[in-house]
Amino acid sequence: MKIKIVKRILSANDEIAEQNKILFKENNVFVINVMGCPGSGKTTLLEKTIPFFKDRLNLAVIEADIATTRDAQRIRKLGVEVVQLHTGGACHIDANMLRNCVNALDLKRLDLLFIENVGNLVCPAEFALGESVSIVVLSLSEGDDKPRKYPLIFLRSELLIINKIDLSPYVDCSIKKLKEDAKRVNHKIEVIELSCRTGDGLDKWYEWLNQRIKEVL
Amino acid sequence: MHEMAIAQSICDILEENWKKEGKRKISKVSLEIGSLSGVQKDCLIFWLENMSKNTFLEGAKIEIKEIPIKIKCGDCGKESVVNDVFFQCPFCQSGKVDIIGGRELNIESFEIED
Repeated sequence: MKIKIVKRILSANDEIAEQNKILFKENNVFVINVMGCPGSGKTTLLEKTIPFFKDRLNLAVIEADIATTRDAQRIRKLGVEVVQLHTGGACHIDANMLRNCVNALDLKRLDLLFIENVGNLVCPAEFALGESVSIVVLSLSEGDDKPRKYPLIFLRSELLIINKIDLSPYVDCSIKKLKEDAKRVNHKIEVIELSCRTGDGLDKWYEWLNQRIKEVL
Repeated sequence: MHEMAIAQSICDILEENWKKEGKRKISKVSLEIGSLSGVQKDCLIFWLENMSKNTFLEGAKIEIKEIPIKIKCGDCGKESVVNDVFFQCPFCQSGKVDIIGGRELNIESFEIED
């Protein structure tokens, strides 16, 4: 006898992600999931972003890593609340891990929550968390073939930040190709080119984030 | 990507259903795996067969239906099956497409012995 169920295998994660989303909405918290390769500049981006927003909004950061507290320590120096999530070897955060982290935060008091996902272009793309928006950070030194190689993370993200544009004269990576290819995978993806190191382009990122936050809060 | 964890999830879901159906032997499991799901079919079968040993699922036939990527064009409205991740409508060459198939990761059905 055949029994048809058509059950999503990752439904357990999706259900918790949906619960997370409702919780964030009820408490008026804008949640941004920051993904990217190790070394793409995710933590540095947060270091440059937090000072711009922290006087106007109540911020917190969830730092996800397989090991060490280095990134959390860097963010803590900025005087904002940080929750360190050690994934126990997992290469991504899932909705359940996020839910457990969120229990440590006072959501009623929070306006803006950054989630710095584990450095990985593959796995974070697969796991819904309940975030307001997902972005992917790519640096020029990683090469311009990443959209074709890792389409799922580009499909998942609303924004691609191309970081380290100051390296442009020194690497064989075409910003133009990177932008075009990202849009060929996800025609809706927006792209901002910047350098966390020189500050070039950061204002466009602040403006983008500001606008998205205003739409939700 | 995480075929072992996915195999575990499949076993968990099937166990719940097996109990609902009065613990009758499951003879077959049909899965739908989309080309964009990131799941490798042979790897998944390997883990499922390993995990089902000495369990309620041992010996069940595993059937996997691979679902191709299907897009719907936002300009001309036509639907088509593609196999390139640089998504483009083959009719009007527009890049404004929505993915309407190929991301599935489902247990479609299972069969129990009468």
